[in-house]
Amino acid sequence: MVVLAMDTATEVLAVAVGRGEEPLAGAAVRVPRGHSRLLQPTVLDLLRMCGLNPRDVELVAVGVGPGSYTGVRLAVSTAKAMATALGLPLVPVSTLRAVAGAACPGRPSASVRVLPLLFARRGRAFGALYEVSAAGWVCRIPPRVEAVEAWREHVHAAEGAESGGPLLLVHDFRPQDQGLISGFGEARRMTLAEVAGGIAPALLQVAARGEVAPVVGDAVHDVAPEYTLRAQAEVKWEEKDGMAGDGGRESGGPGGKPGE
Amino acid sequence: MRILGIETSCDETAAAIVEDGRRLCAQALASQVEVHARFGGVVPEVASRRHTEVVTRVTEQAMREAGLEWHQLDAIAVTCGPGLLGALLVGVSAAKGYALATGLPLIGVHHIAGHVAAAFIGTDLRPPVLALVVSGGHTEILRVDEQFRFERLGGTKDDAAGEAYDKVARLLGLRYPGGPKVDALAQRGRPDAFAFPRSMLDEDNFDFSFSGLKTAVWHELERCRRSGETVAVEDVCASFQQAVIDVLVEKTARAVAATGLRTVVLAGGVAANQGLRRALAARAEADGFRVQAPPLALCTDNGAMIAAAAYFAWSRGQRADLTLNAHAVLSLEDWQAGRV
Ligand SMILES: [Zn+2]
Repeated sequence: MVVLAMDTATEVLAVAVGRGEEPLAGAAVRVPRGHSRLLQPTVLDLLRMCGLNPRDVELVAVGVGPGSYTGVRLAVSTAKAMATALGLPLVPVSTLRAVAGAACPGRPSASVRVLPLLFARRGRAFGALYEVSAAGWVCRIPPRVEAVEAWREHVHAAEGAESGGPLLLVHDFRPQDQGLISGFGEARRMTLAEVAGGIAPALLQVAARGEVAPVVGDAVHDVAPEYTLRAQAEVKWEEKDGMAGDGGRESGGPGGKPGE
Repeated sequence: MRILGIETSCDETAAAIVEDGRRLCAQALASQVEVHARFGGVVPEVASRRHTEVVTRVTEQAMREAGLEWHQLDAIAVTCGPGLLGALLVGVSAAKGYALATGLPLIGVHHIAGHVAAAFIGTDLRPPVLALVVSGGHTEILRVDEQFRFERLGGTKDDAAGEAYDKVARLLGLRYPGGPKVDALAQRGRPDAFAFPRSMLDEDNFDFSFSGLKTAVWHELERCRRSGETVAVEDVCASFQQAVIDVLVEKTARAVAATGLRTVVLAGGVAANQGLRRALAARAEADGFRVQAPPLALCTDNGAMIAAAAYFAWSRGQRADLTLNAHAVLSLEDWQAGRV
């Protein structure tokens, strides 16, 4: 089965073509602001390298974030268009699962905890906590955005309860922001750049092994990015005059729209 | 030649199939007006999210209504600018995904060229023409040559006319989008009730300015408020609208005289404005030129206008490849030169 995988939610434009979970060709491109220009040509180049046509693809896997809002929409929109035009099933995979998989591509005999953290500004990170062992992947904390501090607490709390194995932290924090992610104990650290080449192959794996069920038929249209953060305007609107029962607040009233 | 056109530059997700730039096969549209109404304007991030949710469904709906399969199309066209970058990128990404999957050629379309092309659908109109494009984001006078190439003769120096409508609507407390409401109220008011300024009429160019007009309306409303007078909303709307129309019509008539072109295409969202349509038609009658405006449904953003413009661009050899990008700012010159 020919599988096409793509992700544009991080600074890495990740694409791979595989037979099942075996990658035939892959690319990880870290050209700043290059994703929108390069995604589709990269897909076509890789397929051609493998002697394949877009029509030969049988399954599409796409990273649905969280990560860059604008970025994640590129691959999701492209994958939905391809899947619906070709009548293919689409497997929406968390970008965090793909990043975690890239950091830990094999199946360790003793279990390992993998914590991908993607910078989400204002001291926060998109993250999820996974545990991988010979038996496969288990998601301990599903993708969400939290203060880095909260992620530290989650990890320590889990350590108290059950071990879950050594911690592997994979992140995209820039050098000047890395102070934020100190204090994760003995965690082994990797950067997103170091694991970039493994992101799309991890998507292939998740899709080909059926870890995430494919979306088929009309439902493919409804696949959407998992932003995990609401649009700022919606949050502000609800704070201001959207929420009933927010009693103590001064109400903006009907004329309370912001000026120009 | 059948072209699928996709448009996502602002708050409408739209797709349509047009044959030879003239015959509309089918179109579909998901409007976000209600989504943005509560914010009092289009919120880019919210718009982009919505486009991503509906773009493939809207496209499939247009295809199904046209009764066409992908292999019966000849090209895929998409708005590549100008507009909201995040919104444009959704349409461009989807269009490139379709082009990649089907092997169909890709054409990037300038949004304003699309508005102008809308006036050709269902007609036997041929360029060269003069175009007055009036919308929420644009107010421009363009010369369109035989090959559907554009030359900008003039445009607004500040607010677009549609923007001025929306801002005046807001001053009057009308709910977003207020432009059409101003038009409706203006029908019942006295256009000579207030002497609002006609900016730049004394200047020998084809440029506009509408921000002073909006300020004049604000001053008038303030004066009423301070003196306790009730505001005759209909009169304010009618007088404001008359000031806008006078400038648009006068500058357009001057451009007709200067270029010798005998056909004016009136395009863009504000082309649906009844007062503007009537005034321009009356001036055309007096001066002896022809006015062609798209049907109301094709004045606002839609996929058909993109497919129609793509046909003309294709006919003069314009193509894009899978590296096509979206551009928040894009001049007609750069678009025509293939710098997309
Ligand atoms: Zn428009």
